[in-house]
Amino acid sequence: MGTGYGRSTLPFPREQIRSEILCHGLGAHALFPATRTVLDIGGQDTKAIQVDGEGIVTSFQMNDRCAAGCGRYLGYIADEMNLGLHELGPLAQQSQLPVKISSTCTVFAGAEIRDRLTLGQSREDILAGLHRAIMLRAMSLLARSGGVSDEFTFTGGVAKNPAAVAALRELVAENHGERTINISPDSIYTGAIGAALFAVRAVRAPAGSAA
Amino acid sequence: MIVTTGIDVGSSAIKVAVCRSDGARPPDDGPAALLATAEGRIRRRDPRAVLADTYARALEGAGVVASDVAYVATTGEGELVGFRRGHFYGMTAHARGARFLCPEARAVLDVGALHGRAIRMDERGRVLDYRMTSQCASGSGQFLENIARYLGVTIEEVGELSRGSTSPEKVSGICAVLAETDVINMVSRGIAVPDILRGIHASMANRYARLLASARATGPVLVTGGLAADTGLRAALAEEVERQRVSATLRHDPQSLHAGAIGAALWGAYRHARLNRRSA
Repeated sequence: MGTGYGRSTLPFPREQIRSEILCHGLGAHALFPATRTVLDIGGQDTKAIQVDGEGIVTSFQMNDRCAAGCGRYLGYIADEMNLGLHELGPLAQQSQLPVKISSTCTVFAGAEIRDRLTLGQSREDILAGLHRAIMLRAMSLLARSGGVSDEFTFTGGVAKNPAAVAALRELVAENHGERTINISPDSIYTGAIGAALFAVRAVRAPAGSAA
Repeated sequence: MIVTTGIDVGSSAIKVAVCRSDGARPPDDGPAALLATAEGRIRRRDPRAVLADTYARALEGAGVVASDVAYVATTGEGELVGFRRGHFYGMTAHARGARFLCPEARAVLDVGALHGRAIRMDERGRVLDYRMTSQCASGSGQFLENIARYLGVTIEEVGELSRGSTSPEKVSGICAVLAETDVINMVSRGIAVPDILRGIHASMANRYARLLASARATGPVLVTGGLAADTGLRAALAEEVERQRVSATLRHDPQSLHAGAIGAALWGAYRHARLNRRSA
């Protein structure tokens, strides 16, 4: 079974292709069976997914037209500040007083950062503000998909960023109350795991019946 | 006659104009001459160093020294300029500069690094209405610069390449950052660079033609800002304006980039003359 952004380029017949939304939902369920809400922040898109007790998607929202709120937002900022992507989170965590980033657009945020650095604001405080900004975007996507239910699983490359995770925890607690937040070290494989499980179902189910 | 300077501080470049005029106010344009202009790209340099260098080049080009300048006026991010005497809003500065470069202009389309604006004015050069892009950098100068970088061409080459397109690729409005993936996909599908660029230009032109329409611009429109020099964008804009039935004709001047700075310099002269009359 194939999934993901490049799934259409796989040499598979159509019935062996599943959308990344379905695979992420089922994969998150496999990693954490009590999962009801999934947030996936990848390089190119962000997905907020609600699943039932079996890991089947009940609703979702996705942003793949705008870099604000995706991993690429942080990548662009890292380039702007001449930093490596992995340096951003630890620096942001040293912030004393996070600034409020007013731009939504990634390019405008880049310009805003140049201005703020010229004004003498610290890299750490600016970075903390940026991590909060990306998570605020995620929160609105989650709200549109149906909120944050318990348990809540966070996947994708951005889940490896400690400052992003801290900002997410804070915002979830503020807006939705206490939630168990799951993050797997294997989270980048969530979609692939889901696809593998769909493959298992397809093999077990009689041919022609819906998976 | 007095010498004044206008400094237009943008997000990617600083533009300086040196003018000699008598400080008249439109519709009386009085005798006014543009003595010199200079541009400095900020990129990753300290904007203050770029300002000092650009300002010195402009004065040298005009053959004047700092003490000859009666009034230093800014527009854009004027706070950067510690030695300014006055500041003018971008809209009024651009309208005045456009009127100087193209007296018959009834609107300005300013395409800058981060924002685009359409300004409609009357025959006296007064701003009647304006519309600005906001929230999203798609279609901006920075957007095009990113695209050029992803394609491995310089921003100066973009116009000519685009005009050589034979079958433009259809591009819908795309994010300035995620465009990297879109562009890579187009290249890997075997689409020629000129066709990609022309598609990108068409998508930008679509946005700016709509901006002009929403400001209800009609008649001659002077295209200004950093992207005014892009012949490919201007060609796409002319097509798009016709397609959207905006009854505007696009104009361009080699000094279009400096319209804001010229306008600031001329308004500075007016303010200086008025202050002198008051104290006399």
